[in-house]
Amino acid sequence: MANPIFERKNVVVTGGAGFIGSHLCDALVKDSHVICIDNFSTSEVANIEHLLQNPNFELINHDITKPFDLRDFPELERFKVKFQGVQEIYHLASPISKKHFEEFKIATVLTNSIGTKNVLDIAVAHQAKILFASSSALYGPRRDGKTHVSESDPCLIDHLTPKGAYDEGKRFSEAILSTYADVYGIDVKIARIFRTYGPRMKLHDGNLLPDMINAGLDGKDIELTAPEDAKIALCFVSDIIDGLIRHMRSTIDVTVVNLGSDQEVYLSSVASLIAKITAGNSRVRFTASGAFGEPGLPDLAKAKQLLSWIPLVRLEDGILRMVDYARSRRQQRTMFT
Amino acid sequence: MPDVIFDKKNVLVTGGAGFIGSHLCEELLEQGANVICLDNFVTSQEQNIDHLLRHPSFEFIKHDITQAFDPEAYPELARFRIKFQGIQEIYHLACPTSPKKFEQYRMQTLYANSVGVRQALDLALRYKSRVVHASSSVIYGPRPADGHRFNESENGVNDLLSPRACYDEGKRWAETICATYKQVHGLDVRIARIFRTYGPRMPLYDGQMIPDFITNALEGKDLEIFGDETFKTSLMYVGDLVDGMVKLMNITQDPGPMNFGSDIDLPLVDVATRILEMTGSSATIKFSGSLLFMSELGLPDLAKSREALSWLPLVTLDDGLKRSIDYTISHKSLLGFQPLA
Repeated sequence: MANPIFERKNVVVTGGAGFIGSHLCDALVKDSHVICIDNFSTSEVANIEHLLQNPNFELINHDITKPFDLRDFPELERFKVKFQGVQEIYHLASPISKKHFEEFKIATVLTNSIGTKNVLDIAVAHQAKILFASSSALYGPRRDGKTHVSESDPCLIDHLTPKGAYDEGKRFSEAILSTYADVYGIDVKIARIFRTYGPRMKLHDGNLLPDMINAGLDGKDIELTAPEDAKIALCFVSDIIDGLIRHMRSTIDVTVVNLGSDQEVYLSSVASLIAKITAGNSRVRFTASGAFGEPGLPDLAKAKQLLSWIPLVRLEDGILRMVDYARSRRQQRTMFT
Repeated sequence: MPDVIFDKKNVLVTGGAGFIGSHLCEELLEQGANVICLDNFVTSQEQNIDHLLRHPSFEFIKHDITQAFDPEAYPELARFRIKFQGIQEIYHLACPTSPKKFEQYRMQTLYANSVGVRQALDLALRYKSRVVHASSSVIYGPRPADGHRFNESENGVNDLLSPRACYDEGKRWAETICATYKQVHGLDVRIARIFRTYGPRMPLYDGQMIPDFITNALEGKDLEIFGDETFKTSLMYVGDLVDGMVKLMNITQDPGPMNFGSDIDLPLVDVATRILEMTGSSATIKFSGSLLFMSELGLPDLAKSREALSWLPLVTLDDGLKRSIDYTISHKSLLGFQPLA
């Protein structure tokens, strides 16, 4: 890594206009120059609109599956990329859409392979540290009655399912990172992120929490296609951001780390909480039995010990902030439509 | 697959100058196809296809599969009338494989298994070609402790961050992009999971052991096993594999991933001993440190390939070894050694 002899580090965030990426940009822009790369396939300008006027923020609209060189963008000249280079790369870009997964399947499989390769080539060119946002999907479904998964557990997934483009893509990306680290000696970090929630999560994309909140705000029943005893673990997005930055800036060399909540709560209590906060008259109804199929919980021993990280935001506070966000977004919607 | 309105179908073989690829090209020519062979000679050898270069239905193009390939841009392919006839079949084999130089080719391996597969599939998309993708038994992970045979429906456990990941995990992901192209574009891609294979044209002195055993036995030098006397493997003769891959291409419906390999477990030291016997050599067997890329592999469950393709490995070890020995003797000048009188 080039010494940050300059006032601010140059930091790249791929997928910086997405749900998690935009929060990360918010946090990083306080002490760094942020180069946000996004092609808005499943992310939104609205997430970063407030940053566009910030002198320490620059948006590059680019699809990372196409090779690129940061020195080619005139808008980055004010960050002196040619001289100062790039110190850190957070690689989050990947299409994510529950509803439109099919539509983005090829983009998903290419982003999580060739995209990762292209971003790593940037890391090599600048000898930058790189952190890859991986996923708990790698661990596959819960096995052998084990509730928690740790970083060294085997990853057992079927790579040929319709979800393979994402699941195997994340796996292969980790392998690419590891190969680049071996060959070029660059500093790579892998954060396996578990279920995360918070403001800027897409409201109408078939996601569990936004759907519940919408129902609550509409005064409709909160319908859950899950058995009554289903449990879920939720990590608020600001905790994840804190974890990612700690991981990137840790003086201890940590490659793979789990980030997520290990506290399971009943889905019914999350739904009741939402019903209460949205102050509608929603009732909570369950419409399915059988297994809910929630993946394993993260074993956080490594994150705690090496990064001094644990999720801190209480569920009540997190949900409240998410409901506030949903309310204001819905108001904008009605104002402009 | 569009109907072949011309007398010969056009078939593309990536990695066609490699050990397996060259045998496949030969077989396809035998069956009356036009064969376009792509290779960049990273770990394959020009001499493997030397004898094919004059065949009127064979054309070799030196090309790196990680770069886009436009077959219509090559005047030497004009006689195959690709613009009108298209390409009916693509066998995608290109990937560096070298136990000795594995480290050196890690990046090329990674690129072949990502960008390269994508290029091959995009080409298939352009011509609506049927594809057989050469996958590997490594996607199942290492030899299982319980000794069970790998079945096609198994997910496999391999360490995705190991130094071998560019190959092992690359091959897994390559299957995924094949499945994704099939799901999204309806491309007819078939997956051949290849277990350990041997035969003529295996590269010499590259850690593949069998060809070195033969050469050394003929020269009276020590036979070197990278591992100890417990090292076991199964061995499929390359001709059997080629037969299976062609069957997989020709069957009407895609039967899903297909194992090709031998399910007979052999101590490598027995194979070495047999080679000494067959060559009448008095050389000795010695053991050396194991190679990262030359590991004991698991064995295939062959029920599916037997049922769906009526395929079984047929060539016995003695027959396969004899052919390999004969090849080595007849190519001794090319291979650059002098057997004992």
